[in-house]
Parts: sequence; C-alpha cells; structure tokens
Amino acid sequence: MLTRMTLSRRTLFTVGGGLTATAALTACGSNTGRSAAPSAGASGARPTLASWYHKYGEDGVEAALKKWASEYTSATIDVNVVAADYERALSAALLTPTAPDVFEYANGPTLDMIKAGQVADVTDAVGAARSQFTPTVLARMTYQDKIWAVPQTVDMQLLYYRKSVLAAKGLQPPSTLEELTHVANSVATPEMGGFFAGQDGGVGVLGLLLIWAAGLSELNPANTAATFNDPALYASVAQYKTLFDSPGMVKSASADWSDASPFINGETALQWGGLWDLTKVLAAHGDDVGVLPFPAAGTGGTKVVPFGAFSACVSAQSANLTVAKNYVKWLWVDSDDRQVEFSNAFGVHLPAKPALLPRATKVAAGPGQDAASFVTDFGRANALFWTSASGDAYATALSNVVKNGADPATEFGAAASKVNAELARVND
Amino acid sequence: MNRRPRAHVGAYLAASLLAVVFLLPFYVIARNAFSTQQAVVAPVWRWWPDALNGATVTAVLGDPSLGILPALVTSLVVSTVQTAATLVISLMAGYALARWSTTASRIILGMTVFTLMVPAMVTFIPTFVMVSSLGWISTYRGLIVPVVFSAFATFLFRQGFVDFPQELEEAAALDGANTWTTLWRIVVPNAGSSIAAVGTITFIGAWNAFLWPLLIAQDPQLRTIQVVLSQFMTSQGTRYPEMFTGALIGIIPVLLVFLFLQRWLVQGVEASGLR
Repeated sequence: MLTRMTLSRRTLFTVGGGLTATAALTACGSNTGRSAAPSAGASGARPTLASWYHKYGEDGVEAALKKWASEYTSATIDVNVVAADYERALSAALLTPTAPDVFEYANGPTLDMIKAGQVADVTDAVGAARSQFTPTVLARMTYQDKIWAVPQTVDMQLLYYRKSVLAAKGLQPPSTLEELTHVANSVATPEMGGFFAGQDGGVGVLGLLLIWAAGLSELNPANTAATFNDPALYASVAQYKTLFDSPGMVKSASADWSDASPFINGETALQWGGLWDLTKVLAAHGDDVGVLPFPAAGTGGTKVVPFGAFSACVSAQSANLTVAKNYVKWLWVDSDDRQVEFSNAFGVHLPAKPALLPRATKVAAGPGQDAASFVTDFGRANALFWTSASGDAYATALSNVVKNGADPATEFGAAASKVNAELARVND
Repeated sequence: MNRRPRAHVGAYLAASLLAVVFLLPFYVIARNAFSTQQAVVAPVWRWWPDALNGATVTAVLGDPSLGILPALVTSLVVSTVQTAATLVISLMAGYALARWSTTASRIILGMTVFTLMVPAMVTFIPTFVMVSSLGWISTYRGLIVPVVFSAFATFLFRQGFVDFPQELEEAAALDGANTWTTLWRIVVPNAGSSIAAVGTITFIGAWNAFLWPLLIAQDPQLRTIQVVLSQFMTSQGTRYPEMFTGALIGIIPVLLVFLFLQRWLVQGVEASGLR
C-alpha cells in the first residue's frame, strides 16, 4: 500500500546533499585530455593536437617526446603516453570523436585500419624524403602506393651469445638451426641453459622466422595466397622441434624473450632478444657478447632478422588534418637530429633513415655495428597483408606441431586455408 | 576424550597451512618491493629481500612523474563515490523488485539477471563510444557514472529483501509511514549485512578496475592506482621492485576495507548463493 509521501527536514537535507554531490561530480574533471577544440586558422588561434604513444621501457623517452612536442611552434601538442594495453585503448579511441589526431602504431597501421578509413594518407608529408627511408620498413606502411605512416625508429631482434662459453667448448657461432641445436645442447649445464627464446619455448616470437629461415615467404608477392605451406617449412619446424625438445632449450626463465635479464643473469648462454637491450647486455658481459641473426634452416634456407618500426599515423577523423600531417612531417621526416637522439639516448635503436646510421653512436662499432649490418643483409619485416587472424591461424598450427607433435602438412594446410580466406576478405 | 583436542589441533594445523598458502603472495609482494631488480629476476630464489632500506618506496612515492599519490586519491574518490551511488541505486531497485510482484517487475528482474550473463567485453566498446560522445573522457563522470548501475548488486539486495520480515513494514505503514519512509527508516537500518557486503564487493571491484579507467582517464592527472601501476610493465621489460612497491601501497586501502567488513562480505556472499 502506498501512502502519501511526506518530505521531512532530514529527507530534504538528504536529497539536497545528494544533488550537491551530483553537481560536484558533474563539475569535477572537465579536463578531457585535450584543449578546447580548435580549428586551424580560426581567428588565428593555435590549434591543439592530441598525440598518443605507447609506454616505452627506456628511461627518458616520455620526457623527450613531450619536450619535442613543446618545441613545435605551429600547434599545441598534448602528448598522452598510454600506460598499458596501448593497442586496445587506441582501437577503442579511434571509434570515438575523441580519437587522437596523431598516434604511433607498431609497424604502421593495420590493413583493416587503412581500409576502414581510420588513418590518413601521409604520402605528401613524406614527399621527396620517401627515398631516404629504409625501403622494407616503408613498404610495410605502403598500400596502393600511398604511405599511411612515417617510421619513427627501427627496432630489431637478434641472437645474443656468450663468446667465452662457446669458445670453452670449441664451438663456432651457429649459422644453421642444426648448429644452434648442437651448440645449445653442448653448452648447457645445470647452472646455465643453452638457448632461450621466451617462456613459450620461442614458438611465439620465432614463428615467422621459421618460415623466412626456410627460404620462404608467408604470402605471395601479390598478397593473394599463402605460400608458407611447403615441405621446406615442415623441415624447418621439424628441426626447431628437435631443439625445442632437447635438454639445451630453456623454456622458463626470469623474464620473457623481450627482456635480456636471463642472458644477463647467466641463465642461458644464447638468448633471442631485442637490440634495445644491447646497452644492458654489454654492461653485464662486455666483450664477451656476440650477436647473430637467426640461423638458416635446411639447404635452401637463409639467415634472418626481423625488424620493424613504431610509426607515426594521422587520424583521418582529425579536425586538424593538415596541421597533424605537418607535425608528423616536422618531427619524423624533417628532424634528423631528433631521430638520431631517439636512437642514441634511449636504449639502442636504428634511425629509420639509413643515411643517419653513421650518427647512431651505439651501432657504430662492435655488436651494435654487427646488428645494424644484419638489417641490411638479412632483414625481413612482416607483410601488411599478414593480418592478426592470419597470424593466429599460423601460430596455432605451429604450436600444435612443435608442442603436440601434430602432423605439419595437416596443420599448416589448415592454417593456409584460413590465411587464404583472410586474404580474400582483405583483398575484397 | 582425546579425540576432540587432537581434531582441533589438526584443524588448526590445516587452517594455518592454508593461511600460509594464501598469505604467500602477499609476502612475495613485500619481498619484491624490498628487493633490487637483479634479486627479483635472479635465477636462484631468495626468500629474504636484499634492499630493506626502502629506497624503492622512497623513489616511487617521491617521483612526481609517476603520480602514485594523486592516483591513490583518484582511486579513493572513484571507489567511494561509485560504491555509495551503487548502494543507493541498487538498494532502491532491489527493494522495488522484491516488493512489487507484477508482470513488469518480473520482466525487469529477468532482464537484470540476464545482463549478468552478458560478458562485459561485449558492452565495453559501445559504452565507451557513448561516454566519449557525451564528452566524458578524462572526467570523474566518465569513470563513475557508467559503472554505478550494477545488476549484481541489485540482485543481491533483491534476494536479501525478499526474506525481510514484512510484518515490520506493515507495522510502519500502520503508523503512517509511506514506502519511502519505510525503506529508509525500517528496511535499510535492518539490512546492514547486505549493505556492507555489496559495499565491500563494489569498493574492491572499483579499486581494482583497470581497463575502464585506462580508457577513460586519458589525462594523467586522473589515472587510478591500477593504471599507474601498469606503467611498470612495458614492452621492453618489467620493473619489478617499482611495480611491487606500488602494489604494496595500492592494496593497503582495499585491505583495510576488507579487514573491517569481511564478516559482512562473507554473509552477503552466502546470502546471494554465490560461491
């Protein structure tokens, strides 16, 4: 039974307090992460751009990015370094009116982002400097002869090894997968493992490398069909499975492959890692460190190193498209000094323009110089048309073969079918 | 005669063992917070920390670029307001669903329970787009308002109010109390365990929330403690001492809430039938 509502003084205060709290909440935090939306040229106001980056592990990167942004005079740049889960946060943001004007993305935008119209064509911004960038890096960011991102700095992966450990056993640095297996098993002791490539036994990070090391490509040149389903891949994976199942393989360490701590700590004699850790590795082991590309697999195989670049993209929805493109051009096309600083001051990276390599002091000699030469001689970047769905299909097949001993022809055949279906979708 | 004491000893031993197992992660947090990076990632496990001077704690708290202390304040504001709002809204909704047995209320109850079965990830992007369209990115409104409507809390209250003795409400009605007065003066004061349980669960959930604050709090000044802690895990590695120090600081408020309200939390979970 409902009775007539009375409003006591206490009730009045309660409701009033609630309304006050609501009003306070409404008033709080009107900072949207970007300044009031400005349109370029409107009454001469300086436009404001939101620029997003992922969280770099090297000290000083965030401060440098903000400093550089503050040095740009044609616009105010709000730099937002996303603390974690960068790609998911960015993907969600790109669906909204508050998408960043400029953002970085690993290896440039995905094909789906380009086809969905989320990123702007920056061919004009790159302009004549197109020929100055590493061609294979830029190729990953090129679709239908248009450039969709500007490379910021190049990262690469490589194989670290302890020279003294191999020398003590009279071993040479491995140049084939078979030799790597032999070396890993020969140097392994109860205190130090042989080879480490991640907590999953390297199946994740080395997946595409097993294709390339076999002398194959994941896709045909026209990007219309998968080309990895080949007996050469079966042989490459079989050799890797031998290594995976051998006592020299380290499948659990104090950090994953992207952190050189296991190698630095002496948990393993050889580790697949990143060039970005070279400074720490050299500090720990000095001249005892050597670097190698991933070894060749089989008779028709080849050594490889994967490389890629975080790249600056411009949101196609930006209210200040031209200003955003100009900013990207200023920072990542025209500012050679800043690119060199990025390569030298924070970890170890390679400038995206090969002509700047002589100024990259950390790769001017020793293992750094060797690593830089690997990019020229053995560098491979994954294909733009190799989508995440394709990668998942291949990774599942590889895992089933290496870890579960499944039939490679069956597994990779099924994966190739899925990749072909995915190619049909993206080529549609 | 001796069987009962022996059984007690056995029970205490088993409980102590379980307590050690459950407390071990907390020790690991403390151990890593007071260790160097080298000690944390060392191949040989050491139980005792090697940096007891608290240098990492000082560094983490003293680094304004990390923003641990402002993040704690933000988390406290968000968690408290979200908890209070969820309690008020769900309490009233649960009471209405428990007391009005109509076709409409049954449909609403069914829909409420149904939303519990929809994975949060399904509604995540649409909710984010809506919040963005409202201009609530990097605001407390964006952090709090979309998550204060809790089907779980509503269902929990509804289940509690179904068993509430209606004689008390009828007596209040005879004394002239309307529904509003009855709810706030009769029902709520006698629903302390439900309120404490829902409050605790909501507060802990709000304090530990990560993905939603990560997307909404694009302004670093508005980052919550969980988002700030995630900064220590980068693609180039994890800074373990700093991360565990932040975690150690970050769990203190929620630990206090749990310690004070754990009895009601257990009661509430039992009352809801959730295990």
